[in-house]
Amino acid sequence: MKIGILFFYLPLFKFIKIKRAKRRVFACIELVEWLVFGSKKCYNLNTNMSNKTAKNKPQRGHLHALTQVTKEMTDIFESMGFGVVLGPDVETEHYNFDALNIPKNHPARDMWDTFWLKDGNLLRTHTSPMQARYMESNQPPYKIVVPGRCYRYEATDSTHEVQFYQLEGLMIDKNITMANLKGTLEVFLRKLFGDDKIEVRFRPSYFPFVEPGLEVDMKWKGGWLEIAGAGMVHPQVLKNMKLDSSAKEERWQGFAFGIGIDRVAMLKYKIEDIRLFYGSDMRFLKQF
Amino acid sequence: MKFSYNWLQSYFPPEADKQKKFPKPDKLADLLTMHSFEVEGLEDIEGDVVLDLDILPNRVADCSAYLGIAREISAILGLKTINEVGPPKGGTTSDTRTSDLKTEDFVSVEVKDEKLCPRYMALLIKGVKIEESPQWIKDRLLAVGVNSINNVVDIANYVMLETGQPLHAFDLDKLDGGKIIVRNAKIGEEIETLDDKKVFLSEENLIIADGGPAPLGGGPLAIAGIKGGKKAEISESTTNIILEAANFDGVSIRKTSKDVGIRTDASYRFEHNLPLALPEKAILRTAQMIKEIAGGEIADTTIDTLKDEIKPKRIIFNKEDVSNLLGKEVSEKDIEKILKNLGFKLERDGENYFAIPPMERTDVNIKEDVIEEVIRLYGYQNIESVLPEKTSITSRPNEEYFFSNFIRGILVDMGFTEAYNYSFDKIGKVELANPIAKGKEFLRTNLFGGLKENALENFKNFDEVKFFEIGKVFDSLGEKTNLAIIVANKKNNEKENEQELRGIVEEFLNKMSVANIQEFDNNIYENTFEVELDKIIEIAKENIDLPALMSGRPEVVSFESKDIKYKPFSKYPAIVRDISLFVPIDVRIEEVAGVIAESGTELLVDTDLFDEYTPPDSENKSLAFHLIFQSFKKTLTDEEVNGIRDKIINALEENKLWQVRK
Repeated sequence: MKIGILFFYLPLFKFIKIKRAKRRVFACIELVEWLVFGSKKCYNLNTNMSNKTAKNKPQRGHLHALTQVTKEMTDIFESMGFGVVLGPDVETEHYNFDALNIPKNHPARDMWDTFWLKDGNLLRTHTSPMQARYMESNQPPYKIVVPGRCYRYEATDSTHEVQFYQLEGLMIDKNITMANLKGTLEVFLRKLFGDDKIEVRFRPSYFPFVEPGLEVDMKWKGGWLEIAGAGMVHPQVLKNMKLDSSAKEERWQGFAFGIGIDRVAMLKYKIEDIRLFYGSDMRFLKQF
Repeated sequence: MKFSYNWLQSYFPPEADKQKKFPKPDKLADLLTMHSFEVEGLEDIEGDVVLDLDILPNRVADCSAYLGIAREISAILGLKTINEVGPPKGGTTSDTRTSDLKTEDFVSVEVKDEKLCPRYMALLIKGVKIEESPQWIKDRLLAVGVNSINNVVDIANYVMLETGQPLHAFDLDKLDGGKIIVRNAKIGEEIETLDDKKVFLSEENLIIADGGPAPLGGGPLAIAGIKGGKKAEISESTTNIILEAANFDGVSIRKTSKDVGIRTDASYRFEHNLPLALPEKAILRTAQMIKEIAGGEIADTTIDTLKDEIKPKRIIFNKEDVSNLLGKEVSEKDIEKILKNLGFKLERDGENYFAIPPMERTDVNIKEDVIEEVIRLYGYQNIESVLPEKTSITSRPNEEYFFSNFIRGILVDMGFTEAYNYSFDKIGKVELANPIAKGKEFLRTNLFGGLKENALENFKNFDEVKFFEIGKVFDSLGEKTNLAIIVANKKNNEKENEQELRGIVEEFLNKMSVANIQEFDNNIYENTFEVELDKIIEIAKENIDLPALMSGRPEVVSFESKDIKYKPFSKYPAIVRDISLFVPIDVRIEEVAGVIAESGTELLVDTDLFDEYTPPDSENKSLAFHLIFQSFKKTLTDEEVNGIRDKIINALEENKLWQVRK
């Protein structure tokens, strides 16, 4: 029966003007494909076939869900004046921990299960080392976001992976306050989830490189969801970067936050298992 | 960390504060979560509720203790506590120190390194009777998962839970040489712990040892701050005990605990550097409880190795500091009330305050710490959202980030799907010290290897795979970002796949305005292409008007927001059956699909019309469907699927004008 269709439409081929041989091949393949897979519109064929066959485009592929979410996130922050900065996956102990007020043998290091390399370096456990790296080589004020891959040495399950993506944010200026942190995150989340009713709430938490340290929840569709860790940049971190936070006129202060990109993608698309992101299964990837 | 609701409530008897009621468990959990620590679970047990609190690392020193949590609750609610160091339930307070006994007449204490052990307190109790604990102590311990051993050990554990200070009791009569020595272990020393494990010690490990005759000079009684040993264990025959309440250096405890592979409630607390003042309070409390429950006579003196007086911290701050950091005014009245409720002392000096935190609060050291106390109790919900004022900061677009996305857009338009593979590999140049699994010992040196595996894996479900990945690769010189693509068609041979890849690479490079395509010949390997991202960017930049492109921020087509509705898919294989039928020309496809869906059971996951055809001059049209069957629970058999297909055919043929082609 399919052959029947082909014979029925074969005479039409000669009506298609094809200049180059290469194109002819594509056009033929496309027409055959279209006959086999797209033939539900075949009764209209006589009227608009020339337009249909003129296009020579393969079926589009798919961007990874994390690429799309990361881009949406950075787009929003760029529209709010943040610059995008990237950093290395392999970090030194200094930038990943010490510069961030997490000294060796500090119990707080337990919060970050670390992959160590044989040469003594490590795989960054968060994007926060870029705070230190960026401050070290740039003059304040700062207003950046850093998306990137991070690693944790931990057992995997549907919500934990040995690798994941984080978006770090850092804003330091003369009078940046915790109220600004709340405003920034609220506007960001409203845009990201396309919901003007999203509210943000803070809860006490602890990260050695901020003080006060916060857990950020967002109110979405009736419930509170944990969405980020944040806080006001710790004076010791500023001091490590030779920025003074004490003198009144020259006082630099600001906020930092870290958002799990995988988690955002899971919420946005209702994905139940973080491991799907790294499984390269077309059945998953083709849905995005 | 687990806390019993009943035990917490016992610090707030109704007669202490008639105005305010102690909140119900869920309400209490909410309040603690919003002001102190996240409550990760509420568990109902017989006659009690257990709260599982995530004590933050900086608060272990004061809040791995019932009294610490009670202080938090009292500050949150403005409730008065009683029983701070009062007697246990049913007991009475009395000054128990009327003895002529002196601890130093029975034992001496020597600390070899004050840095590792800044304080060691020892107190003698003579004539105790070792028995089972009273039921109420057993209940309280059991509620939080601590097993009952005997009255003295249980009381030591009880006071640790209450105050946060770990305590230990030694049998005085089993100590050699009347001496307690806090020192590093000697090479070859070993200890048999209370749970009958032999532990070999190294010179790095701090131990508690006894005196003993020369030349051996005594042996280990306990791994300091971590675990007691068999030698001076409290047993049924014990009558005279030495209580220990000490302070150990957190780093040393942490290292030793890792070395010997033992983590205990005590080592967990010591790792976080406990307050120097705590042993004093805890040792008296323990002695008091032992006397009341196990009897005995408490010595009149306590050995204490602490040299210097503990000086309280004084932290200067003012109201303006609070509003500058928070962007929220908090009145002096509120600041004062909050800090006093938390047990801080406040001194006024003009505009400024000196805040003197309670001795347990090792976490409060700078102005910002005090401000955190103020705002978390005042309530973070009272901070209004304010966007930062417009600043002069100008951000330049990031070149690598921009081009990565630009390239992604082009490749997706060319039919490629993006993969994110793991950074780990079984071979490579950069080796992990602690790989997570076999086959993941190195960091990957290329992307194409992963893509080739992806292609094979996907051939189970697809005939053709076109993937790309942009990601980090690692070698001994450092890391760089690569781009790799793969073209794999099950039906093609290797040559054909490579041929198709070459065509695609050419097209891609053209789109990137790369003129000299031959330059990239070496980047093709079989059916894959891999190149350093920077190399493409450098060449592309020569030919692309970059500033215009970046400032214009062209939305690459593939990034248009679309309505993505993700559907979970089964890990079990799908089985496809085709059905074709003739129906009258005016029958809508939806109608036919509806009948199929209704009779297809939940195992029919997709129905796909792949052919529709109306022969000339016919009153019927032909429809053909792929029916895709799949289970989330198992691999379906042919029989199961054929059975459902037959059911669908029967349902379709119920309509006499529809004719299924067989």
